[in-house]
Amino acid sequence: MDAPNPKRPCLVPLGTSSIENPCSLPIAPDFNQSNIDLTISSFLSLSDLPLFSLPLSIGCSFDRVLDNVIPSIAGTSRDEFDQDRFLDRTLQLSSLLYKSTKRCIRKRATLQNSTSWPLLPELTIKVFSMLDTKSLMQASACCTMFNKCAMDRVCYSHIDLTTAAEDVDNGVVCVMIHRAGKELRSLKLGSISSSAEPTTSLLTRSCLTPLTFNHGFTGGHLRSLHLYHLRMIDCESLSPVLSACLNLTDLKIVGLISGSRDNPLEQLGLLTRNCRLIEHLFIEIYGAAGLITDSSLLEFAANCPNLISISLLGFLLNDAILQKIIKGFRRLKHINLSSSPEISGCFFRGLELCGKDSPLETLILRDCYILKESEVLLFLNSLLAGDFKYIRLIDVSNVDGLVRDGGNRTFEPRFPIEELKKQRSNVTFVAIFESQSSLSSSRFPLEELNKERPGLTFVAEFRSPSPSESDVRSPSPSSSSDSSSSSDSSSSSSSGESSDESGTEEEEDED
Amino acid sequence: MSSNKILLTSSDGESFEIDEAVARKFLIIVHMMEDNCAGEAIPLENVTGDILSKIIEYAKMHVNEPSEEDEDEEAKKNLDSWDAKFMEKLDLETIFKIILAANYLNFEGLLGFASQTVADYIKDKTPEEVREIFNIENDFTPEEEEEIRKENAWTFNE
Repeated sequence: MDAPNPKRPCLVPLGTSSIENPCSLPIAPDFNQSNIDLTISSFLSLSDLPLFSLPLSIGCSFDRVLDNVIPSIAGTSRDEFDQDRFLDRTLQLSSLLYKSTKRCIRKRATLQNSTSWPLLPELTIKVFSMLDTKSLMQASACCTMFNKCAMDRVCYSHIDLTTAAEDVDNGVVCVMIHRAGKELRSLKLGSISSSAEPTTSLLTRSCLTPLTFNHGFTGGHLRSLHLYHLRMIDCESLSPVLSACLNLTDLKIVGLISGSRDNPLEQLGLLTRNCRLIEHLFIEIYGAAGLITDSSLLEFAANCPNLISISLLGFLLNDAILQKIIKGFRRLKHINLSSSPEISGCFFRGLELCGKDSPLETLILRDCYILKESEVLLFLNSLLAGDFKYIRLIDVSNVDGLVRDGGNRTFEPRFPIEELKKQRSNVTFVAIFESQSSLSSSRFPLEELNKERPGLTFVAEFRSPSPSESDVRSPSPSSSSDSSSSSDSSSSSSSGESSDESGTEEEEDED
Repeated sequence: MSSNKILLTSSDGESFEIDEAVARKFLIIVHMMEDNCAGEAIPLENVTGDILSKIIEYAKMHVNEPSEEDEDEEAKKNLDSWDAKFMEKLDLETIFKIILAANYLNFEGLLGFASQTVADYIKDKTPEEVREIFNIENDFTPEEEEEIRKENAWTFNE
């Protein structure tokens, strides 16, 4: 051993003796804690010595000591065994020192973090509850404090897994629901953009089953459920789940699969049977070809008396059924039945009776192929007569124009726009008859205008399509899918252009 | 009426005179006034002057919070852009102090808005990026780290 450093208390002999006599008891009875601590601290202070400032030289010292110690044990009967034991213990010592040092570093890091992030846990949780679920998980991986806060139930109140749609599987959904517990209020799954291939989703039909666990414990707390383009989601798989969601007020399913033999309305009735509190319903069906009858409509209307907004896209509804819907749901304010090829508009006539006090605020019938100009005219005239006093937004846009009496189609319907503006100035009437693909650069920001002043804007563009664009239909599902679930009157008209000749383009507030 | 002036004093002695209507945004003051322990001047021990002045600035802009949706969307938009500019100028440290002060004063509007601002800093970022922004160190044990990595595997692929 080298000469002990004069600056340090001379405790090296103690250390030396235990190394040179490995056969002695591991801890001598009079070896107390403070002696151990002193030994350790003097060992650690070796690194302060200028002689040992180079790791290489300390390494050499270690080598020297170990090499010296091993031969000194040689010659006794148990040398092999003792050597192994000694070396093992040395390894153990160094490992313990390593772990201790790491712990110390972590503690310092934790302390440092509480300075960098001064918010109390409840405030941290408040911030986290404003994150989508994926960002929340990223945050939870930052440090122990974030991790702890991110596990609080409140953060999972509104689970939004649409931002990581390709990677979410059933297990993730299950974990998130479980973490939310009784704080679960809303759940969004799937990928919102319709261009995503449904087949890349990892979610299966049973991904929502956790909502039914424990007699529907979490399902019963759920208020809002949005499902976008989930694979194989049909009534059969959703029914049991929705039966557990008794307090659901907002249901949106984009991409519900309907068999060719199923009656979509009946399926709808089945789905909502237990959701008596439902207020907003948005369903977009793919593949409906089944005969639609109104046999279950009464039941449906009776089950959901609180329905305020309904959007049924792809349901192949006809006028008779639409009429019954409007009459059956007393509180209905917002209707979106775009892409309904069986609606001609004659349902308007039957509404006169309830027209005056009808709570109807929004009526969207985009791309209804057989919608007649004359029927819309009738409706507008009834508005002028004072009916539907609550109405704020009407949308009859259609890439193929409206049907004129006599069978051909018109792209320039004759509507009493001027009078409407005067008498019903807070109505937004959208009637765009131009295919999206022919948008020129002279696009007006009408969407923005509509949003800014939904109360006053009146917009109507008419232009016959150029011959080149024939059958490109505007992506109506995705564009109309936003308009109904919001209950305010800002329109989501897909495009706006100025009109040329017969232009009746007016923007009220452009003073 | 509401032309009453209330005097607020910060922890470092700065005084601010504001309308009662503005002061009522701070529920802590409302409670004090109801309990009649608010005299002429109200001392706010947990808020320093610079932060208090910012909070009052925000409260003044928001004193007439429009409750109806359809009314005046333009005013709403203007207010929103004022809010955005207000936050843009502030560094993270100040935003944290504002959150703590708004929490103490029980000023829900600003508390929510400032919290959302911090949340926006975190949104859509990887853990490394978040650590960098907020000067946070990784204090997980290797075992914890491994477990978290497994749990969060689905968030990594992007």
